[in-house]
Amino acid sequence: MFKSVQQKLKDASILEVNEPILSFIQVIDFNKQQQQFKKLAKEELSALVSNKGYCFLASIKTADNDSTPIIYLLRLNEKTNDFKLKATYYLDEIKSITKIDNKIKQNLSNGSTVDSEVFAFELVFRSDSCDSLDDPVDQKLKFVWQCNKIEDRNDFLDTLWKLSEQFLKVSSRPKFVNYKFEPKKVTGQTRNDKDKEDDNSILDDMKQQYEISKSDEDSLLKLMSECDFASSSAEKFIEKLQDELLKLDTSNIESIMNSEEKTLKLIDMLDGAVDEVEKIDVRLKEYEDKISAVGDAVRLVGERDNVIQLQQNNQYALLELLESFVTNLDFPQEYRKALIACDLSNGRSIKKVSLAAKKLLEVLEAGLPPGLKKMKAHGDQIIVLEKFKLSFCSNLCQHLKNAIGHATNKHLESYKIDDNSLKNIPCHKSIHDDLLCLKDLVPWVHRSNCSFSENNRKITFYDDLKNYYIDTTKQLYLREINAFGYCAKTRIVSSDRAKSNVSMENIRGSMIRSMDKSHHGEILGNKTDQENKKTLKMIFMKLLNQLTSAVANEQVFCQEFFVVPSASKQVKLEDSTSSSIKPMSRTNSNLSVASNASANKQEPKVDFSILREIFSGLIEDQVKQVMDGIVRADYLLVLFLYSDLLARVIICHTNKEYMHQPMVGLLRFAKEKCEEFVKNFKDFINETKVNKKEKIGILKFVKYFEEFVKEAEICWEPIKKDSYEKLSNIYDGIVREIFRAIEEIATGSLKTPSEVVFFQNYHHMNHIMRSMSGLKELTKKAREEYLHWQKEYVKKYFGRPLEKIHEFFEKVQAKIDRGLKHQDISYQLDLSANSLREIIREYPAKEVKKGLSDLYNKVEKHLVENSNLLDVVWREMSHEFINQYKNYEHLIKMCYEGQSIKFEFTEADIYRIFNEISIEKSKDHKF
Amino acid sequence: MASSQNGKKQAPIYKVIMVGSGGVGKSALTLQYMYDEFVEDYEPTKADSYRKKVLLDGEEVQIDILDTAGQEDYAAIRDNYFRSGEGFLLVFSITEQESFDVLDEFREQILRVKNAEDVPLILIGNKSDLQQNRQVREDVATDKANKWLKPYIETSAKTRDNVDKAFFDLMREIRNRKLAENSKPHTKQKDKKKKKKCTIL
Repeated sequence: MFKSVQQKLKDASILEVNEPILSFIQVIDFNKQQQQFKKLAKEELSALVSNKGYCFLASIKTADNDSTPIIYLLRLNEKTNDFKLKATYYLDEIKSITKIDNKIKQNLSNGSTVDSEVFAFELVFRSDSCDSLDDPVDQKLKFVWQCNKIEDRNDFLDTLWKLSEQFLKVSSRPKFVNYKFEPKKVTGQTRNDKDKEDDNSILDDMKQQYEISKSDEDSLLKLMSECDFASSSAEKFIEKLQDELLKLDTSNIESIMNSEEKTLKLIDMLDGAVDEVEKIDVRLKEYEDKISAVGDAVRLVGERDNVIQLQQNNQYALLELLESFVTNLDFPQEYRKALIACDLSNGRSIKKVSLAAKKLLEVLEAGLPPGLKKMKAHGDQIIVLEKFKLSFCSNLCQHLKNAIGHATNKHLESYKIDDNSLKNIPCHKSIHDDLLCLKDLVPWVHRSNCSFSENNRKITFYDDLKNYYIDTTKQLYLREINAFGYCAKTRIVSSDRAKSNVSMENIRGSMIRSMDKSHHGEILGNKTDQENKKTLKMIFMKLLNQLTSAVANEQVFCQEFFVVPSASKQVKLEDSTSSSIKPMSRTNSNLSVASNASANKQEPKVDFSILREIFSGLIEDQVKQVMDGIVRADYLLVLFLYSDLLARVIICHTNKEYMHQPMVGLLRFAKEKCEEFVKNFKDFINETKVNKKEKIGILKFVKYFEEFVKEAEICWEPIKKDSYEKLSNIYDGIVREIFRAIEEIATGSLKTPSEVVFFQNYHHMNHIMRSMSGLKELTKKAREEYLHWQKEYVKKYFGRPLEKIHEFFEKVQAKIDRGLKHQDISYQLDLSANSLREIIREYPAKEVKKGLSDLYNKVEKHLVENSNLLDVVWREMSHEFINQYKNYEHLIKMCYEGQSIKFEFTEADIYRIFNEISIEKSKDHKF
Repeated sequence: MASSQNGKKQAPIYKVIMVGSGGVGKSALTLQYMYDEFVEDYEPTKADSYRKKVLLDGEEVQIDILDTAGQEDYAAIRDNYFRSGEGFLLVFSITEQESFDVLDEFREQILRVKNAEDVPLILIGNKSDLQQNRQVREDVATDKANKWLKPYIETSAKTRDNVDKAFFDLMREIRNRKLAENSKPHTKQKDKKKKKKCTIL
């Protein structure tokens, strides 16, 4: 209803565009006669009164910063149903608004009283002149309007109240009489739904906009009511606030209005921008498509280019391969000729042949890819060349064999003259020189790996050649070494002039003879034994030196001639394993196990198999024979053989010579011989029997042992550092055996006192053993035994010259030892002063001298002839004798004091006697 | 057993006696000469004898060394073994003045026992390796030797310095004396002058 009304009013230009209708009410003029209008609207108002149907509507006109609620009075033309503006009132022009309900009795102009229920309201306008509230209302400014419906009237009044509350200053607000604002509830309940909906459009907006919470409102109301009565300034302040609020509202509304436009514009602009972006997107996509198309094209071109390059490369590679294939398999005619001719007569042609041969193998062994080998051309060429190689190889080997044979014959002829009186093993240098011209061809034979069948066995030409050389050389060496060995043996026999029936002797006899010879040889001052030993040693050393150098030369030659270069890998492997066992093999280098392991460890792989086959047995056989001869000639020389071989084995080991192998065998042989000798010696010691009734001096085996040690020390001198322990062990066994035998013999001796046997032999053993470098403990033991038994001997004999006196005082001493007092001794029956005197009388100085002389002679007789111990023992005896004499004198003084007992001789007499004895003896030995 | 003594010519025996106070190194010199060994621990000797064959100027001889006690309880006992000696090494320690001074007595005893005015004898100043402890100056020792008309040798049993020389020189003196004795049947010859010019055969 509002909208249609508003539209109509707008159409009639009564309302402006932005002037909303806030409330609308149909009224009729209640008291026409009382109406008084403002001067401005006097005429219109008076005209209005005559009409019955009027409409009031409340609106608000908003200016920039000032909004004034307006009330329009409209007349509804009933015929046209159009509105006509009758009057416009500003709300602030109204002084008071009074709600009039049914109680009001209206006096109509005709004088009758209408006592009906009326819903009306009274508007009182302000008079121009006086504004005072207390003034009685001018009736002319008072209008009462009646309406049909109570709801409409209340609604209208509510609107007016709200408007006045919100937009007007307190001072200019109309005064509401008999009216109290009842928000929403009243209106909400009474209004119908449709009205409510319409109302919402503007009024609710405003309500919401300006709605204050209930508490705020209350406090505000309170404040205002206070202010109303409090001061005018508060009111002013409120007014001001309202003004500003109004202004703000207006500007807000305006800015909202204005910004809406701008927002629209902005949205438009954004739309435009989106469009633009889309356009650009489309274009970009186009470009991308184009670029990818170009990329594909370029890639395609690149791939095509690669394929072309690859094809080209493949073609080149194929070409190259074929070229190398052809050159690799090509064997030039000139080489072919050289091989067919196989001229080995001079250095240049040999070089030519070996070059051609090398080329042939290169062609055959050319490292072609496996694929190419499947080509028929390859197979054909290989077959042809293999055939050619085989025939050449066979031909070459024949030539080489001939060369070996020729060189050997040449060598044999040059040495034929003095075949039977060889001073040396002939040198094979000429053979080696002749053959070394051809040395380049031998590895070729090995490399070619050609073979032939013989007796259903496949034999390589290389092996065949090797075997041929081995056979030839072996024969040669066999002859030469045997001849040399024979010479050595004859010289051994000739040097051994002592006995010709040596071979008939048993080992024991041989040992005894050797020791005797050695022992006497020196005593006699006849140097033949030493010379003999020297000669035999020389023979042996020469033999081994010759053999060693011959083998070394042969080794050098084989290394050069039969060189096999392929084994380098194996060498490395062995090297690493053998280096780990190296320290062990060093310490017992003579052990065959260790030495074999180290023998394999040749730096340039030496084909020991060749040397082994040439010399196997040969060297060992010959040397063992010679060793046998030497041992037979002089058994003691086993010591030399053993020590010399020990030294040689070490040297061969360090020089990495093949000779090490046979040497180890020989060493074992010598060691066995030596052990055999030692065993025999021990047996000899063990079985030595002496005639108990004969004088025993230095035992024979002690003398032999002296010879043994002397020889052994000479032999071990050069190898003392490394191998003395071996000798020490040998010594140890023998010495213990000797000590045991001395003990046995000494205890059994009858004629010679066992003390003498002991001390003489131990003294000599000590003397022998001191020249050894080891066995310190046993040496010390020998010395201790010597000193002990010497003392025992002196103790046993020194009392003899004064035997009875000696016995007497022994008894005295025994009594004293048993606790008898010195002064009581003379009272013992058998120890009386008289019996002592009697005994002493038996020993006058003359008798003493005789006794001492006899003792001296006895000692001299006990000891070996010319014994250097005589002085020592005699000194000891004299010393003891004098000591004892002094002891006797002391005992006489203690036990027989006052008995005037005196020896028939004085201390000075004793010295004189000793002096005389020594003068007599020295006369015997005078220079 | 007696087979070794069948009356054949033996190498001549030279009897040498070591003389001197205790601890001067008589045994040490002997053992060093005999066995090339040096024993650090000191153990007083009573008497001991050593024999070995040596080549003296190409001739094989036996040297018998009697190593005697420095401290002898009864001086008279010395007479006995001095008498059997043919040559004497009079040893003192260069680090001990007293051992040097006492040697005159020893020499007189030897001459008295041997009943001779001159015997083969060498003055030995041992322990020459201990120069820092020297008490007997070399010229003083040489003076004494000159007075005796005998050689003086400084030795070190520890380092073997001059050890062989001492023994060999003495053996040569003995040999010369023996030759002289044999050429003149009468004993007690006084050939001091000849002494200084030994002819080595």
